[in-house]
Amino acid sequence: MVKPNKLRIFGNFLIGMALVTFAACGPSLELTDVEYSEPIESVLEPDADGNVEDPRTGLKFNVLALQEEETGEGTTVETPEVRVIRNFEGYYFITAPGYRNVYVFEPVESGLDLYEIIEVDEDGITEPAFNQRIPDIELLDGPDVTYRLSKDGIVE
Amino acid sequence: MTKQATITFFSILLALSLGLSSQAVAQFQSDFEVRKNFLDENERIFQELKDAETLEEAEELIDEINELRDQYSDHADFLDRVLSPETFDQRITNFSELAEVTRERISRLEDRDTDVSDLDEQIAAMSDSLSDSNERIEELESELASMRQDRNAFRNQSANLRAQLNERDEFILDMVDSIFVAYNDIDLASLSPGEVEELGLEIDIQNVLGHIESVIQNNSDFLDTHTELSAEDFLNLYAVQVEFERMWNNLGPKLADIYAGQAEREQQLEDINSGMSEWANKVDDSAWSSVASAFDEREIEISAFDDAVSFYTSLSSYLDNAIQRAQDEGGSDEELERYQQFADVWREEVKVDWQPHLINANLLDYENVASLDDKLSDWKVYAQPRSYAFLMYLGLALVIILVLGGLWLNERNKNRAKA
Repeated sequence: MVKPNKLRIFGNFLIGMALVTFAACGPSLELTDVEYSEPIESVLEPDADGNVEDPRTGLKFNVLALQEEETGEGTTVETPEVRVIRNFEGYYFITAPGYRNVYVFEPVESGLDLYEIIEVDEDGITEPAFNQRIPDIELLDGPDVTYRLSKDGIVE
Repeated sequence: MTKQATITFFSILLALSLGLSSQAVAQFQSDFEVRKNFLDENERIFQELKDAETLEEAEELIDEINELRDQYSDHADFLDRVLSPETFDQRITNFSELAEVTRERISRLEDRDTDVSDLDEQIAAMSDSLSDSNERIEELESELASMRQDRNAFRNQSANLRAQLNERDEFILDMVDSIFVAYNDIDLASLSPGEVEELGLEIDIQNVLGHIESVIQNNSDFLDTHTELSAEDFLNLYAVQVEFERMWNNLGPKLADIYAGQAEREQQLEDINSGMSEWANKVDDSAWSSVASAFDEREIEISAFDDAVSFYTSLSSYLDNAIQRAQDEGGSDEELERYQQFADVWREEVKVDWQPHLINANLLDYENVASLDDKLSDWKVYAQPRSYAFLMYLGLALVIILVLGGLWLNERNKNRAKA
Protein backbone atom coordinates (compact mmCIF):
# COMPACT_ATOMS: atom_id res chain seq x y z
CA MET A 1 0.00 0.00 0.00
CA VAL A 2 1.35 3.38 -1.01
CA LYS A 3 1.69 5.87 1.78
CA PRO A 4 -0.19 9.16 1.60
CA ASN A 5 3.09 11.12 1.76
CA LYS A 6 4.38 9.35 -1.31
CA LEU A 7 1.14 10.01 -3.05
CA ARG A 8 1.54 13.72 -2.37
CA ILE A 9 5.04 13.62 -3.78
CA PHE A 10 3.84 11.81 -6.87
CA GLY A 11 1.01 14.30 -7.30
CA ASN A 12 3.40 17.22 -7.00
CA PHE A 13 5.62 15.54 -9.59
CA LEU A 14 2.73 15.29 -12.01
CA ILE A 15 1.81 18.93 -11.47
CA GLY A 16 5.42 19.92 -12.04
CA MET A 17 5.59 17.93 -15.27
CA ALA A 18 2.40 19.63 -16.46
CA LEU A 19 3.82 23.09 -15.69
CA VAL A 20 7.03 22.24 -17.52
CA THR A 21 5.00 20.95 -20.45
CA PHE A 22 2.87 24.14 -20.59
CA ALA A 23 5.96 26.30 -20.25
CA ALA A 24 7.57 24.46 -23.13
CA CYS A 25 4.50 25.17 -25.29
CA GLY A 26 4.81 29.07 -24.74
CA PRO A 27 6.79 31.66 -26.92
CA SER A 28 10.38 30.63 -26.81
CA LEU A 29 11.65 31.72 -30.33
CA GLU A 30 14.84 33.73 -30.28
CA LEU A 31 16.40 35.55 -33.29
CA THR A 32 20.12 35.83 -32.99
CA ASP A 33 22.78 38.02 -34.63
CA VAL A 34 20.33 40.90 -34.90
CA GLU A 35 21.93 44.20 -35.93
CA TYR A 36 20.16 47.36 -34.86
CA SER A 37 22.52 49.88 -36.38
CA GLU A 38 20.96 52.86 -38.08
CA PRO A 39 22.99 54.04 -41.08
CA ILE A 40 22.58 57.65 -40.19
CA GLU A 41 21.94 59.75 -37.17
CA SER A 42 18.68 61.57 -36.64
CA VAL A 43 18.72 65.27 -35.94
CA LEU A 44 15.58 66.10 -34.00
CA GLU A 45 14.33 69.51 -32.88
CA PRO A 46 12.28 69.55 -29.68
CA ASP A 47 8.93 71.29 -29.63
CA ALA A 48 7.91 73.69 -26.90
CA ASP A 49 7.25 70.83 -24.52
CA GLY A 50 10.54 69.12 -25.26
CA ASN A 51 9.05 66.33 -27.35
CA VAL A 52 10.98 65.04 -30.31
CA GLU A 53 9.89 62.60 -32.95
CA ASP A 54 11.90 60.85 -35.62
CA PRO A 55 9.60 60.35 -38.60
CA ARG A 56 12.11 57.98 -40.16
CA THR A 57 12.24 55.48 -37.30
CA GLY A 58 9.14 56.42 -35.34
CA LEU A 59 11.16 57.04 -32.18
CA LYS A 60 9.53 59.56 -29.84
CA PHE A 61 10.63 60.83 -26.44
CA ASN A 62 10.92 63.95 -24.31
CA VAL A 63 14.28 65.65 -23.93
CA LEU A 64 13.56 67.55 -20.72
CA ALA A 65 14.80 64.75 -18.42
CA LEU A 66 17.95 64.45 -20.50
CA GLN A 67 18.41 68.23 -20.51
CA GLU A 68 17.94 68.34 -16.72
CA GLU A 69 20.53 65.63 -16.36
CA GLU A 70 22.96 67.58 -18.55
CA THR A 71 22.28 71.15 -17.48
CA GLY A 72 20.12 70.94 -14.37
CA GLU A 73 17.27 72.75 -16.15
CA GLY A 74 14.28 70.46 -16.59
CA THR A 75 11.37 72.80 -17.15
CA THR A 76 12.21 75.02 -20.10
CA VAL A 77 13.43 73.60 -23.35
CA GLU A 78 16.91 74.96 -24.00
CA THR A 79 18.19 72.21 -26.22
CA PRO A 80 17.99 73.35 -29.84
CA GLU A 81 18.37 69.88 -31.27
CA VAL A 82 19.34 66.40 -30.25
CA ARG A 83 21.35 63.95 -32.28
CA VAL A 84 20.42 60.32 -31.99
CA ILE A 85 21.93 57.20 -33.46
CA ARG A 86 21.52 53.54 -32.64
CA ASN A 87 24.52 51.24 -32.66
CA PHE A 88 24.60 47.69 -33.94
CA GLU A 89 23.78 46.33 -30.45
CA GLY A 90 20.64 48.39 -30.24
CA TYR A 91 21.84 51.07 -27.82
CA TYR A 92 20.85 54.67 -28.47
CA PHE A 93 23.57 57.34 -28.39
CA ILE A 94 22.15 60.79 -27.74
CA THR A 95 23.81 64.18 -27.42
CA ALA A 96 23.20 67.79 -28.32
CA PRO A 97 25.22 70.92 -29.16
CA GLY A 98 26.76 72.28 -25.97
CA TYR A 99 26.37 69.03 -24.07
CA ARG A 100 29.45 67.68 -22.39
CA ASN A 101 28.32 64.08 -22.54
CA VAL A 102 26.97 61.46 -24.84
CA TYR A 103 24.16 59.49 -23.23
CA VAL A 104 23.86 55.79 -23.97
CA PHE A 105 20.38 54.32 -23.53
CA GLU A 106 19.14 50.80 -23.60
CA PRO A 107 15.61 50.41 -24.95
CA VAL A 108 13.08 48.85 -22.59
CA GLU A 109 9.37 48.51 -22.77
CA SER A 110 8.02 52.07 -23.40
CA GLY A 111 11.25 53.61 -22.24
CA LEU A 112 14.95 54.16 -22.55
CA ASP A 113 17.10 53.16 -19.62
CA LEU A 114 20.30 55.08 -19.14
CA TYR A 115 23.11 52.64 -19.70
CA GLU A 116 26.13 54.94 -19.70
CA ILE A 117 27.10 58.59 -19.67
CA ILE A 118 30.19 59.17 -21.74
CA GLU A 119 31.90 62.39 -20.89
CA VAL A 120 33.42 63.82 -24.06
CA ASP A 121 34.35 67.46 -23.49
CA GLU A 122 34.13 69.48 -20.34
CA ASP A 123 33.60 72.63 -22.37
CA GLY A 124 30.75 71.08 -24.32
CA ILE A 125 30.58 69.55 -27.74
CA THR A 126 30.01 72.49 -30.05
CA GLU A 127 29.13 70.78 -33.31
CA PRO A 128 28.25 67.17 -32.55
CA ALA A 129 27.49 64.66 -35.31
CA PHE A 130 27.25 60.86 -35.14
CA ASN A 131 28.40 58.46 -37.81
CA GLN A 132 27.77 54.76 -37.87
CA ARG A 133 31.12 53.03 -37.90
CA ILE A 134 30.39 49.46 -36.90
CA PRO A 135 31.24 48.27 -34.37
CA ASP A 136 31.69 51.84 -33.08
CA ILE A 137 29.85 55.08 -33.23
CA GLU A 138 31.88 57.96 -34.55
CA LEU A 139 31.35 61.33 -32.88
CA LEU A 140 32.49 64.43 -34.72
CA ASP A 141 32.88 67.79 -33.10
CA GLY A 142 33.40 70.08 -36.01
CA PRO A 143 35.78 69.16 -38.77
CA ASP A 144 38.78 68.65 -36.52
CA VAL A 145 37.70 66.48 -33.60
CA THR A 146 36.68 62.84 -33.81
CA TYR A 147 35.88 60.27 -31.19
CA ARG A 148 35.15 56.58 -31.37
CA LEU A 149 32.48 55.48 -28.96
CA SER A 150 31.13 52.19 -27.74
CA LYS A 151 28.26 51.69 -25.34
CA ASP A 152 30.76 51.67 -22.52
CA GLY A 153 32.75 54.78 -23.37
CA ILE A 154 35.36 56.30 -25.63
CA VAL A 155 37.32 53.71 -27.53
CA GLU A 156 41.03 54.47 -27.26
CA MET B 1 67.80 75.09 -57.07
CA THR B 2 66.73 77.15 -60.02
CA LYS B 3 63.84 79.57 -59.94
CA GLN B 4 61.73 77.32 -62.20
CA ALA B 5 62.34 74.35 -59.94
CA THR B 6 61.39 76.41 -56.92
CA ILE B 7 58.11 77.45 -58.50
CA THR B 8 57.34 73.84 -59.45
CA PHE B 9 58.09 72.63 -55.92
CA PHE B 10 55.82 75.18 -54.28
CA SER B 11 53.11 74.54 -56.83
CA ILE B 12 53.16 70.82 -56.03
CA LEU B 13 53.19 71.62 -52.34
CA LEU B 14 50.23 73.96 -52.71
CA ALA B 15 48.31 71.42 -54.72
CA LEU B 16 48.98 68.68 -52.20
CA SER B 17 47.96 70.88 -49.30
CA LEU B 18 44.74 71.88 -51.06
CA GLY B 19 44.02 68.28 -51.92
CA LEU B 20 44.66 67.08 -48.40
CA SER B 21 42.57 69.91 -47.04
CA SER B 22 39.57 69.04 -49.21
CA GLN B 23 40.02 65.39 -48.39
CA ALA B 24 40.06 66.28 -44.71
CA VAL B 25 36.89 68.27 -45.10
CA ALA B 26 35.25 65.35 -46.86
CA GLN B 27 36.51 62.93 -44.30
CA PHE B 28 35.16 64.90 -41.37
CA GLN B 29 31.83 65.56 -42.97
CA SER B 30 29.15 63.78 -40.95
CA ASP B 31 27.08 61.10 -42.61
CA PHE B 32 24.02 63.17 -41.87
CA GLU B 33 25.51 66.08 -43.78
CA VAL B 34 26.70 63.78 -46.54
CA ARG B 35 23.18 62.48 -46.92
CA LYS B 36 21.66 65.91 -46.61
CA ASN B 37 24.06 67.47 -49.10
CA PHE B 38 23.67 64.58 -51.49
CA LEU B 39 19.89 64.75 -51.35
CA ASP B 40 20.00 68.51 -51.64
CA GLU B 41 22.17 68.18 -54.71
CA ASN B 42 19.77 65.54 -56.03
CA GLU B 43 16.86 67.86 -55.52
CA ARG B 44 18.65 70.80 -57.16
CA ILE B 45 19.75 68.78 -60.17
CA PHE B 46 16.32 67.23 -60.55
CA GLN B 47 14.70 70.66 -60.42
CA GLU B 48 17.19 72.09 -62.89
CA LEU B 49 16.61 69.14 -65.20
CA LYS B 50 12.92 69.91 -65.13
CA ASP B 51 13.58 73.58 -65.79
CA ALA B 52 16.30 73.09 -68.39
CA GLU B 53 15.40 74.79 -71.65
CA THR B 54 18.62 74.79 -73.63
CA LEU B 55 21.06 72.14 -74.75
CA GLU B 56 23.83 73.97 -72.91
CA GLU B 57 21.94 73.73 -69.62
CA ALA B 58 21.24 70.03 -70.13
CA GLU B 59 24.85 69.26 -70.99
CA GLU B 60 26.05 71.27 -68.02
CA LEU B 61 23.78 69.21 -65.77
CA ILE B 62 25.16 66.01 -67.26
CA ASP B 63 28.62 67.22 -66.27
CA GLU B 64 27.35 68.06 -62.79
CA ILE B 65 25.90 64.56 -62.40
CA ASN B 66 29.26 63.09 -63.33
CA GLU B 67 30.89 65.36 -60.77
CA LEU B 68 28.30 64.26 -58.22
CA ARG B 69 29.18 60.66 -58.92
CA ASP B 70 32.87 61.39 -58.42
CA GLN B 71 32.28 63.49 -55.35
CA TYR B 72 30.15 60.95 -53.51
CA SER B 73 31.60 57.70 -54.78
CA ASP B 74 33.54 57.35 -51.51
CA HIS B 75 30.21 57.35 -49.68
CA ALA B 76 28.60 54.86 -52.05
CA ASP B 77 28.19 52.16 -49.41
CA PHE B 78 26.72 54.58 -46.94
CA LEU B 79 24.40 56.10 -49.54
CA ASP B 80 23.35 52.62 -50.61
CA ARG B 81 21.97 52.15 -47.11
CA VAL B 82 20.47 55.59 -46.91
CA LEU B 83 18.80 55.41 -50.29
CA SER B 84 17.64 51.82 -49.86
CA PRO B 85 15.97 50.19 -51.72
CA GLU B 86 17.62 52.34 -54.32
CA THR B 87 21.42 52.35 -54.52
CA PHE B 88 23.84 55.17 -55.10
CA ASP B 89 24.77 53.84 -58.53
CA GLN B 90 21.12 53.48 -59.47
CA ARG B 91 20.40 57.03 -58.33
CA ILE B 92 23.27 58.42 -60.38
CA THR B 93 22.35 56.24 -63.37
CA ASN B 94 18.74 57.38 -63.14
CA PHE B 95 19.88 60.96 -63.04
CA SER B 96 22.18 60.43 -66.00
CA GLU B 97 19.40 58.83 -68.02
CA LEU B 98 16.99 61.57 -67.02
CA ALA B 99 19.56 64.18 -68.05
CA GLU B 100 20.12 62.42 -71.36
CA VAL B 101 16.39 62.22 -71.99
CA THR B 102 16.12 65.89 -71.11
CA ARG B 103 18.95 66.73 -73.49
CA GLU B 104 17.31 64.75 -76.29
CA ARG B 105 13.95 66.34 -75.54
CA ILE B 106 15.45 69.80 -75.72
CA SER B 107 17.34 68.85 -78.85
CA ARG B 108 14.13 67.68 -80.46
CA LEU B 109 12.36 70.81 -79.29
CA GLU B 110 15.13 72.99 -80.67
CA ASP B 111 15.02 71.06 -83.94
CA ARG B 112 11.30 71.47 -83.97
CA ASP B 113 11.67 75.12 -83.09
CA THR B 114 14.13 75.40 -85.94
CA ASP B 115 11.68 73.67 -88.22
CA VAL B 116 8.89 75.85 -86.93
CA SER B 117 11.12 78.85 -87.35
CA ASP B 118 11.89 77.77 -90.91
CA LEU B 119 8.20 77.22 -91.53
CA ASP B 120 7.45 80.59 -90.00
CA GLU B 121 9.97 82.15 -92.34
CA GLN B 122 8.49 80.30 -95.29
CA ILE B 123 5.00 81.30 -94.25
CA ALA B 124 6.18 84.87 -93.76
CA ALA B 125 7.80 84.79 -97.20
CA MET B 126 4.65 83.30 -98.70
CA SER B 127 2.57 85.86 -96.84
CA ASP B 128 4.77 88.61 -98.21
CA SER B 129 4.46 87.11 -101.65
CA LEU B 130 0.73 86.79 -101.18
CA SER B 131 0.61 90.32 -99.91
CA ASP B 132 2.58 91.48 -102.94
CA SER B 133 0.24 89.48 -105.14
CA ASN B 134 -2.75 90.99 -103.41
CA GLU B 135 -1.29 94.43 -103.82
CA ARG B 136 -0.60 93.70 -107.46
CA ILE B 137 -4.11 92.35 -107.85
CA GLU B 138 -5.47 95.45 -106.19
CA GLU B 139 -3.37 97.58 -108.48
CA LEU B 140 -4.54 95.62 -111.48
CA GLU B 141 -8.12 95.80 -110.28
CA SER B 142 -7.68 99.49 -109.80
CA GLU B 143 -6.14 99.78 -113.24
CA LEU B 144 -8.89 97.61 -114.64
CA ALA B 145 -11.52 99.71 -112.93
CA SER B 146 -9.80 102.79 -114.24
CA MET B 147 -9.61 101.24 -117.68
CA ARG B 148 -13.23 100.29 -117.45
CA GLN B 149 -14.04 103.79 -116.42
CA ASP B 150 -11.85 105.08 -119.20
CA ARG B 151 -13.39 102.60 -121.56
CA ASN B 152 -16.86 103.47 -120.44
CA ALA B 153 -15.96 107.11 -120.60
CA PHE B 154 -14.42 106.52 -123.98
CA ARG B 155 -17.48 104.63 -125.08
CA ASN B 156 -19.67 107.39 -123.76
CA GLN B 157 -17.46 109.92 -125.39
CA SER B 158 -17.55 107.91 -128.61
CA ALA B 159 -21.27 107.56 -128.33
CA ASN B 160 -21.66 111.29 -127.75
CA LEU B 161 -19.34 112.07 -130.59
CA ARG B 162 -21.12 109.58 -132.78
CA ALA B 163 -24.44 111.09 -131.81
CA GLN B 164 -23.18 114.55 -132.68
CA LEU B 165 -21.78 113.26 -135.94
CA ASN B 166 -25.06 111.56 -136.63
CA GLU B 167 -26.92 114.78 -136.00
CA ARG B 168 -24.54 116.62 -138.24
CA ASP B 169 -24.61 113.89 -140.85
CA GLU B 170 -28.37 113.87 -140.83
CA PHE B 171 -28.41 117.62 -141.08
CA ILE B 172 -26.04 117.55 -143.98
CA LEU B 173 -27.82 114.64 -145.58
CA ASP B 174 -31.06 116.52 -145.22
CA MET B 175 -29.45 119.60 -146.64
CA VAL B 176 -27.85 117.74 -149.52
CA ASP B 177 -31.08 115.87 -150.05
CA SER B 178 -33.00 119.12 -150.17
CA ILE B 179 -30.49 120.55 -152.61
CA PHE B 180 -30.66 117.42 -154.61
CA VAL B 181 -34.44 117.47 -154.58
CA ALA B 182 -34.41 121.14 -155.40
CA TYR B 183 -32.07 120.76 -158.30
CA ASN B 184 -32.68 117.19 -159.26
CA ASP B 185 -35.42 118.05 -161.65
CA ILE B 186 -33.53 120.90 -163.17
CA ASP B 187 -32.36 120.18 -166.64
CA LEU B 188 -28.98 121.75 -166.62
CA ALA B 189 -28.83 121.59 -170.33
CA SER B 190 -31.79 123.93 -170.53
CA LEU B 191 -30.16 126.50 -168.28
CA SER B 192 -28.19 129.34 -169.64
CA PRO B 193 -24.56 129.62 -168.60
CA GLY B 194 -25.49 132.53 -166.37
CA GLU B 195 -28.19 130.50 -164.65
CA VAL B 196 -25.79 127.63 -164.17
CA GLU B 197 -23.24 129.98 -162.71
CA GLU B 198 -25.90 131.44 -160.44
CA LEU B 199 -26.80 127.98 -159.31
CA GLY B 200 -23.17 127.22 -158.57
CA LEU B 201 -22.87 130.40 -156.56
CA GLU B 202 -25.91 129.43 -154.54
CA ILE B 203 -24.37 126.06 -153.80
CA ASP B 204 -21.17 127.81 -152.84
CA ILE B 205 -23.05 130.07 -150.52
CA GLN B 206 -24.52 127.07 -148.76
CA ASN B 207 -21.00 125.53 -148.71
CA VAL B 208 -22.41 122.24 -149.84
CA LEU B 209 -19.06 120.86 -150.97
CA GLY B 210 -17.35 121.95 -147.76
CA HIS B 211 -19.98 120.25 -145.66
CA ILE B 212 -19.72 117.07 -147.69
CA GLU B 213 -15.95 117.06 -147.42
CA SER B 214 -16.29 117.61 -143.71
CA VAL B 215 -18.70 114.70 -143.31
CA ILE B 216 -16.40 112.37 -145.20
CA GLN B 217 -13.29 113.50 -143.37
CA ASN B 218 -14.89 113.36 -139.93
CA ASN B 219 -16.27 109.88 -140.46
CA SER B 220 -13.00 108.66 -141.86
CA ASP B 221 -11.10 110.09 -138.92
CA PHE B 222 -13.64 108.63 -136.53
CA LEU B 223 -12.99 105.16 -137.91
CA ASP B 224 -9.26 105.65 -137.50
CA THR B 225 -9.54 106.62 -133.86
CA HIS B 226 -12.36 104.36 -132.71
CA THR B 227 -11.30 100.85 -133.53
CA GLU B 228 -12.84 99.34 -130.38
CA LEU B 229 -16.44 99.89 -131.36
CA SER B 230 -18.86 97.01 -131.46
CA ALA B 231 -19.99 95.25 -134.60
CA GLU B 232 -23.35 96.96 -134.22
CA ASP B 233 -21.66 100.39 -134.16
CA PHE B 234 -19.56 99.62 -137.23
CA LEU B 235 -22.58 98.27 -139.10
CA ASN B 236 -24.42 101.45 -138.20
CA LEU B 237 -21.52 103.48 -139.61
CA TYR B 238 -21.58 101.23 -142.63
CA ALA B 239 -25.23 102.02 -143.19
CA VAL B 240 -24.55 105.76 -142.87
CA GLN B 241 -21.70 105.54 -145.36
CA VAL B 242 -23.79 103.60 -147.85
CA GLU B 243 -26.63 106.09 -147.57
CA PHE B 244 -24.28 109.04 -147.90
CA GLU B 245 -22.52 107.50 -150.86
CA ARG B 246 -25.87 106.78 -152.50
CA MET B 247 -26.84 110.43 -152.23
CA TRP B 248 -23.45 111.58 -153.38
CA ASN B 249 -23.61 109.35 -156.36
CA ASN B 250 -26.81 111.15 -157.36
CA LEU B 251 -25.60 114.65 -156.58
CA GLY B 252 -21.95 114.43 -157.53
CA PRO B 253 -22.37 114.25 -161.33
CA LYS B 254 -24.73 117.21 -161.35
CA LEU B 255 -22.29 119.24 -159.31
CA ALA B 256 -19.56 118.21 -161.72
CA ASP B 257 -21.63 119.60 -164.51
CA ILE B 258 -22.33 122.80 -162.65
CA TYR B 259 -18.68 123.30 -161.80
CA ALA B 260 -17.39 122.21 -165.18
CA GLY B 261 -14.49 124.31 -166.19
CA GLN B 262 -13.79 125.50 -162.66
CA ALA B 263 -10.50 123.82 -161.86
CA GLU B 264 -10.69 124.49 -158.14
CA ARG B 265 -14.16 123.06 -157.82
CA GLU B 266 -13.36 120.11 -160.01
CA GLN B 267 -10.39 119.28 -157.80
CA GLN B 268 -12.63 119.61 -154.80
CA LEU B 269 -15.05 117.15 -156.34
CA GLU B 270 -12.24 114.71 -157.04
CA ASP B 271 -11.11 115.02 -153.45
CA ILE B 272 -14.62 114.25 -152.32
CA ASN B 273 -14.77 111.17 -154.53
CA SER B 274 -11.40 110.01 -153.29
CA GLY B 275 -12.37 110.60 -149.65
CA MET B 276 -15.63 108.78 -150.18
CA SER B 277 -13.78 105.71 -151.50
CA GLU B 278 -11.40 105.83 -148.56
CA TRP B 279 -14.27 106.10 -146.11
CA ALA B 280 -16.07 103.20 -147.79
CA ASN B 281 -12.99 101.01 -147.62
CA LYS B 282 -12.38 101.81 -143.97
CA VAL B 283 -15.92 101.18 -142.87
CA ASP B 284 -16.02 98.01 -144.92
CA ASP B 285 -12.86 96.64 -143.30
CA SER B 286 -13.86 97.67 -139.79
CA ALA B 287 -17.38 96.33 -140.03
CA TRP B 288 -16.50 92.89 -141.32
CA SER B 289 -13.58 92.53 -138.94
CA SER B 290 -15.77 93.35 -135.99
CA VAL B 291 -18.49 90.98 -137.16
CA ALA B 292 -15.92 88.19 -137.59
CA SER B 293 -14.53 88.93 -134.11
CA ALA B 294 -18.00 88.72 -132.65
CA PHE B 295 -18.35 85.16 -133.97
CA ASP B 296 -14.82 84.26 -132.87
CA GLU B 297 -15.50 85.45 -129.35
CA ARG B 298 -18.43 83.06 -129.17
CA GLU B 299 -16.31 80.25 -130.61
CA ILE B 300 -18.46 79.89 -133.67
CA GLU B 301 -16.15 78.91 -136.49
CA ILE B 302 -17.58 80.27 -139.67
CA SER B 303 -15.43 80.59 -142.78
CA ALA B 304 -13.68 83.88 -143.48
CA PHE B 305 -15.59 86.73 -145.14
CA ASP B 306 -14.83 90.30 -146.08
CA ASP B 307 -17.97 91.53 -147.79
CA ALA B 308 -21.69 91.08 -147.73
CA VAL B 309 -21.76 88.22 -150.19
CA SER B 310 -19.06 86.19 -148.50
CA PHE B 311 -20.68 86.95 -145.15
CA TYR B 312 -23.97 85.50 -146.22
CA THR B 313 -22.24 82.59 -147.94
CA SER B 314 -20.24 81.87 -144.82
CA LEU B 315 -23.33 81.81 -142.60
CA SER B 316 -25.26 79.76 -145.07
CA SER B 317 -22.45 77.22 -145.48
CA TYR B 318 -22.04 76.96 -141.76
CA LEU B 319 -25.73 76.13 -141.36
CA ASP B 320 -25.72 73.74 -144.31
CA ASN B 321 -22.76 71.88 -142.86
CA ALA B 322 -24.38 71.76 -139.46
CA ILE B 323 -27.60 70.34 -140.88
CA GLN B 324 -25.69 67.77 -142.88
CA ARG B 325 -23.66 66.76 -139.84
CA ALA B 326 -26.78 66.44 -137.70
CA GLN B 327 -28.41 64.31 -140.37
CA ASP B 328 -25.37 62.08 -140.77
CA GLU B 329 -24.46 61.67 -137.14
CA GLY B 330 -27.90 62.02 -135.65
CA GLY B 331 -29.00 64.44 -133.01
CA SER B 332 -27.19 64.63 -129.75
CA ASP B 333 -26.77 66.81 -126.73
CA GLU B 334 -23.51 68.14 -128.19
CA GLU B 335 -25.16 68.98 -131.48
CA LEU B 336 -28.04 70.65 -129.69
CA GLU B 337 -25.56 72.64 -127.65
CA ARG B 338 -23.77 73.81 -130.82
CA TYR B 339 -27.10 74.76 -132.32
CA GLN B 340 -28.09 76.67 -129.22
CA GLN B 341 -24.79 78.53 -129.21
CA PHE B 342 -25.29 79.75 -132.77
CA ALA B 343 -28.99 80.38 -132.30
CA ASP B 344 -28.30 82.62 -129.32
CA VAL B 345 -25.96 84.78 -131.37
CA TRP B 346 -28.26 84.79 -134.34
CA ARG B 347 -31.40 85.70 -132.45
CA GLU B 348 -30.06 87.90 -129.70
CA GLU B 349 -27.38 89.77 -131.59
CA VAL B 350 -27.58 89.43 -135.33
CA LYS B 351 -31.32 89.82 -135.68
CA VAL B 352 -31.80 92.34 -132.88
CA ASP B 353 -28.72 94.56 -133.14
CA TRP B 354 -27.24 93.97 -136.58
CA GLN B 355 -30.11 93.25 -138.88
CA PRO B 356 -31.46 96.84 -139.22
CA HIS B 357 -28.04 98.11 -140.21
CA LEU B 358 -27.34 95.11 -142.45
CA ILE B 359 -30.60 95.82 -144.25
CA ASN B 360 -30.05 99.59 -144.40
CA ALA B 361 -26.53 99.08 -145.73
CA ASN B 362 -27.83 96.63 -148.30
CA LEU B 363 -25.51 93.98 -146.92
CA LEU B 364 -28.34 91.49 -146.42
CA ASP B 365 -31.95 91.57 -147.44
CA TYR B 366 -34.95 90.05 -145.77
CA GLU B 367 -34.86 87.06 -148.05
CA ASN B 368 -31.32 86.33 -146.95
CA VAL B 369 -32.34 86.53 -143.32
CA ALA B 370 -35.41 84.33 -143.90
CA SER B 371 -33.27 81.77 -145.69
CA LEU B 372 -30.87 81.63 -142.82
CA ASP B 373 -33.80 81.39 -140.38
CA ASP B 374 -35.14 78.39 -142.26
CA LYS B 375 -31.80 76.64 -142.17
CA LEU B 376 -31.50 77.34 -138.50
CA SER B 377 -34.91 75.76 -137.92
CA ASP B 378 -33.87 72.68 -139.89
CA TRP B 379 -30.69 72.40 -137.86
CA LYS B 380 -32.74 72.52 -134.67
CA VAL B 381 -34.90 69.66 -135.82
CA TYR B 382 -31.97 67.43 -136.75
CA ALA B 383 -29.95 68.42 -133.73
CA GLN B 384 -32.51 67.02 -131.27
CA PRO B 385 -31.17 63.91 -129.52
CA ARG B 386 -33.10 60.67 -130.24
CA SER B 387 -34.90 59.50 -127.15
CA TYR B 388 -35.09 55.86 -126.05
CA ALA B 389 -38.86 56.28 -125.73
CA PHE B 390 -39.07 56.89 -129.46
CA LEU B 391 -37.19 53.65 -130.19
CA MET B 392 -39.43 51.76 -127.75
CA TYR B 393 -42.57 53.03 -129.43
CA LEU B 394 -41.12 52.10 -132.80
CA GLY B 395 -40.32 48.58 -131.60
CA LEU B 396 -43.76 48.20 -130.02
CA ALA B 397 -45.46 49.29 -133.22
CA LEU B 398 -43.41 46.76 -135.15
CA VAL B 399 -44.42 43.97 -132.78
CA ILE B 400 -48.08 44.90 -133.04
CA ILE B 401 -47.86 44.92 -136.83
CA LEU B 402 -46.25 41.49 -136.84
CA VAL B 403 -48.88 40.07 -134.46
CA LEU B 404 -51.76 41.49 -136.47
CA GLY B 405 -50.17 40.23 -139.68
CA GLY B 406 -49.82 36.77 -138.17
CA LEU B 407 -53.45 36.74 -137.07
CA TRP B 408 -54.59 37.88 -140.49
CA LEU B 409 -52.62 35.15 -142.25
CA ASN B 410 -53.92 32.56 -139.83
CA GLU B 411 -57.51 33.63 -140.42
CA ARG B 412 -57.06 33.61 -144.18
CA ASN B 413 -55.64 30.10 -144.13
CA LYS B 414 -58.64 28.92 -142.08
CA ASN B 415 -61.07 30.46 -144.55
CA ARG B 416 -59.31 28.79 -147.43
CA ALA B 417 -59.40 25.46 -145.68
CA LYS B 418 -63.15 25.77 -145.13
CA ALA B 419 -63.64 26.73 -148.74
